[in-house]
Amino acid sequence: MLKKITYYHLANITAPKIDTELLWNLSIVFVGLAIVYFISVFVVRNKISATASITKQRKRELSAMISEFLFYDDSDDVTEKSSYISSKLEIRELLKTPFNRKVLVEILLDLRKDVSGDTQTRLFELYQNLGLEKDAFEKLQSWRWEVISKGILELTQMQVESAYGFITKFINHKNSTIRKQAEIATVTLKPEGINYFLDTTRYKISEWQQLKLLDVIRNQKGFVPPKFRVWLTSKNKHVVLFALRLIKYYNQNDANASLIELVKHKNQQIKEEAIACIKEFYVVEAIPVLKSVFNKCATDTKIAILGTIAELGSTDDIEFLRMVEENESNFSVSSKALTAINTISPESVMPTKDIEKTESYKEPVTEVTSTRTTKEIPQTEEVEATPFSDHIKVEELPMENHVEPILETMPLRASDILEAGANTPENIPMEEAIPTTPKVPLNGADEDQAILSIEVIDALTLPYPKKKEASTEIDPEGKSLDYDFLPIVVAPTTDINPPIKNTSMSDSKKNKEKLHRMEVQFEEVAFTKPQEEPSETETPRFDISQIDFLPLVVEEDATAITPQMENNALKKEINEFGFLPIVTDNESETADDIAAQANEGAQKIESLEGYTLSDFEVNFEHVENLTPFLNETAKQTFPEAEPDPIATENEDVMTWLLALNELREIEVDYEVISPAKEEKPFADLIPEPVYYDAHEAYMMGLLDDLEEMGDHREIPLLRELLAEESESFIKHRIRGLIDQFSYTKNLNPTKAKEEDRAVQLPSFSIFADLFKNIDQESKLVLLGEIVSVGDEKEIDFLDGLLEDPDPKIRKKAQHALKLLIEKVSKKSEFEKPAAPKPVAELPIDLSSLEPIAPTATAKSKPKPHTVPTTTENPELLDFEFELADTEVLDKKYDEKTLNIEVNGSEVVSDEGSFFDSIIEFPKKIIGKLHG
Amino acid sequence: MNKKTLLLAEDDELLASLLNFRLKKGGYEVNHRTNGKMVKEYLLENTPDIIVSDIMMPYFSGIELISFVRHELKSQVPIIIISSAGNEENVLNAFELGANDFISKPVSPSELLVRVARELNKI
Repeated sequence: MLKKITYYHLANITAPKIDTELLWNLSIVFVGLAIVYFISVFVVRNKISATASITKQRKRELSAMISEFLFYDDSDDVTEKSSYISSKLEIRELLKTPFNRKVLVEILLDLRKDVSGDTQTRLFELYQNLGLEKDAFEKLQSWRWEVISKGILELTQMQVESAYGFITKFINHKNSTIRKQAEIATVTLKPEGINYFLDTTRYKISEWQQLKLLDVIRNQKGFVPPKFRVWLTSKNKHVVLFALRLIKYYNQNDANASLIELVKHKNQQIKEEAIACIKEFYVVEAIPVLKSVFNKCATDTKIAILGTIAELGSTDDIEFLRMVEENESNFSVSSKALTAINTISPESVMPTKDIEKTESYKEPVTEVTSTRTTKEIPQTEEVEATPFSDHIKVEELPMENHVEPILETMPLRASDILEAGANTPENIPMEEAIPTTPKVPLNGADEDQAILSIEVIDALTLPYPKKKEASTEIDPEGKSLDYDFLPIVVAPTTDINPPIKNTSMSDSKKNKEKLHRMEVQFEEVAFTKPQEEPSETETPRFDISQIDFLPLVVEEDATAITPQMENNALKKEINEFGFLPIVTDNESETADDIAAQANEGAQKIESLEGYTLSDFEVNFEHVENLTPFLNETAKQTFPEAEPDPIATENEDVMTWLLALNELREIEVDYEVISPAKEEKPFADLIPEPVYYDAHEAYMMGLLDDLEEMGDHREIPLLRELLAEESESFIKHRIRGLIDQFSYTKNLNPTKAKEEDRAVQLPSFSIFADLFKNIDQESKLVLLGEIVSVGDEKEIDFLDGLLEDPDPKIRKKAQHALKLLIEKVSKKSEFEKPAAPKPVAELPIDLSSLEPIAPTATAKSKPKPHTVPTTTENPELLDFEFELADTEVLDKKYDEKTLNIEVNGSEVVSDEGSFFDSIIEFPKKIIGKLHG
Repeated sequence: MNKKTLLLAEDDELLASLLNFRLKKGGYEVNHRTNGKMVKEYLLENTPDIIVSDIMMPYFSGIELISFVRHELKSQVPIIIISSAGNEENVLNAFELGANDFISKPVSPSELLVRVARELNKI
């Protein structure tokens, strides 16, 4: 069987007979395909490179044009204006091709990235002015997602605000790329876009998208962040998350309640973000909620909660943190709990890992001079026996945790020691010297064992609070214990300084040794009572500079007070101050005194030259010795007053002081003004003040301004005011102003004429220059574009072309002129909505080009542009002005004029003014008709 | 009145064209070169009144250009550097080597014009 099959199969393997022709044909086909492939590759490649080359070339050309458009200014010279116009014409032609439009868009998008400021703004305007946004709008309608996305991007980058409404529709598009592009566009195009986006989006907002959106709103000009709290209630959790981030970024701390509520959110990310906000805004009220949700949270959230509690928490939260530290199996969380404890209460938890055990240091016993006892540091067993042991397993805590409250009170004591000249605080083993803690009970039995033989020198003889000493009660607050009664413990300097042992409670638990008896030596801090009063033998010394700020004011009443009395009164007054030196006036002394002191005083004053008052120490004598009368008076006034201790004995210095005080005295002679009513001989001549009410004040202010700055142009306004005003004096003022302005207007008629002339000056047409050097075809193209580009300045120019020798140009110019006039009329109609007659209502229908009516030629001359001063209605002015304007247009460009044929006449140069040419125009026509 | 000559070294043709136009309009005679080689060749033959150069250029960067001008040509011609934002290190290098001013992309052509005028007024 096998053989058969094998044989059978072998028999089938014989080489089939393939037709050689077929083979050749196949070969030819494959070669042909290969050639086609290579040719197509070559063609495509060439096409691509050719397109790239054309694009590059076109970019160069267009970029020059774009530069011209971007930096064009109305104040540019004629050459630049001419170049600008030609570029404008050229680009209009180019824009007809899609390829050119595409290249132009590419250029603008590229340039947008490279330029900023005003140029960028102009770039955006140019994009819209060239109508390129229409292409982008078309892209939005495409069925291909990448085209839509490109369209949105283009509109966003070129700041097309009008696209906002179209783009917002894509916010909930099923395609994520379009959606994201639409989100960014919505937020970018309008400041309120962020509100719309957050309100409407139903999809996820990725982290990257959030960053991009934040970047957009951060860099948006004039963006006022809304209250993002309103989106905390959104049903889209991504919106809530983004709102939380925005709240945090913009520091909007007005949503604390919502933040606390969001801590309970199921979503861990929202929870974490809410916790971050709580931490940022210091929402302390959130701590209970944080604690309550702690167990349900993920590790990262737990860590965030612990970080927040560390930041906002107080010592009340340490219990919770200890519980977390004990119960939490996750190392990171328990470590964070320990960190939080140490943040709230620094160094309350000390390092326990790999800490070597050290033997207890045997404290040398110091002498105790008073009968004071101290207690040894309680052992951990004692701590466990405390009522607090139920709540806190203190044995696991380091000992320093309990010592800390004492340490807080120590700096003061240490400074006391320093002041007393004791050893430096570093030498004092604080923790061992201070034997008790607020929370540690003093067990009576252990206390006896722990009593140290301490020699206490209690110089201050402070009353020892026996109740506290004997008491084993614990102050639950831990604050009522007063450590001031404790003796100052000073270790001898020669002793070895035991290092402050930061042993943990676990170590201390094992340490069963009692603390060695410690000898505490109190150094007496002697209170040196300062000498309050100098002894009688000593001369009191004062620094005059300390009292020289006080002025000596002596009332002068020569008739009532004698010099002696004056002196006494002065001394009495000074004596009231007690501590002040008595300074008497030399001049008021008796003649004998003066005679006795004259020589000495003069010498002193001489010798005091070059010194200031504060340079001297003055010896004062007692006042009672010098002026018994003053003392008597003082005693009468103040019977219990002691004699002045600081009176000087040295009269020389007093003399000098008096001399100085004399210099300081400023005697002011007041002129007495009688209150009696004086006669007013010219009272009738002084006008009574005029008080305006609000309206009158406003009107008078307005008229003042008008008088100062206004001219005859204010007359209509003044007339209006005159009509409305009821107050006669204001009316009078207005009339005066009208007269004044009318007079000044008549005085300067030349000025008005100059203004009118300026209006009538012929406007320059940029096309005239272009027409000089171009061929007929170009002229025709230019005439085709002149309507879209040109304005009223081109009317004169086209008018001139009506007499061109070339009939084609004449015809084209005539057509262009007709269209341009329509355009200008519409424009003026648009700009001046109050214009009474639109183009359609003009006496001559330009569109129908009917033969001119005989009445039209017989129309009166246009009214000059003068402002009628007599008219009461300012609207009438506008009406007349517009009417005159339209009349000019009607008269000048009626159909008959436009259809006139002029053969081979020379193009008249535009030398006259605009209005002159209008006036002269019918004459020209008549002249030409008559040959 | 002779126009001040300005060498614009910028490889981005679009931006260069724009700046070229603005600077010409501002009254300068602008010589534009698109890469470092061309800039070097130009500088060996000419001395512009001011150089405005991009930092990132082919063949010869803006930093090398400053070094070349200051150390090899021993010229104190003012150099304004154009750099993209965030390229702080390059800017610091440029200043260390002797650049006079710095303007970051996106460039405001009007600002550049003011800076150029200011640098020329300092001379």
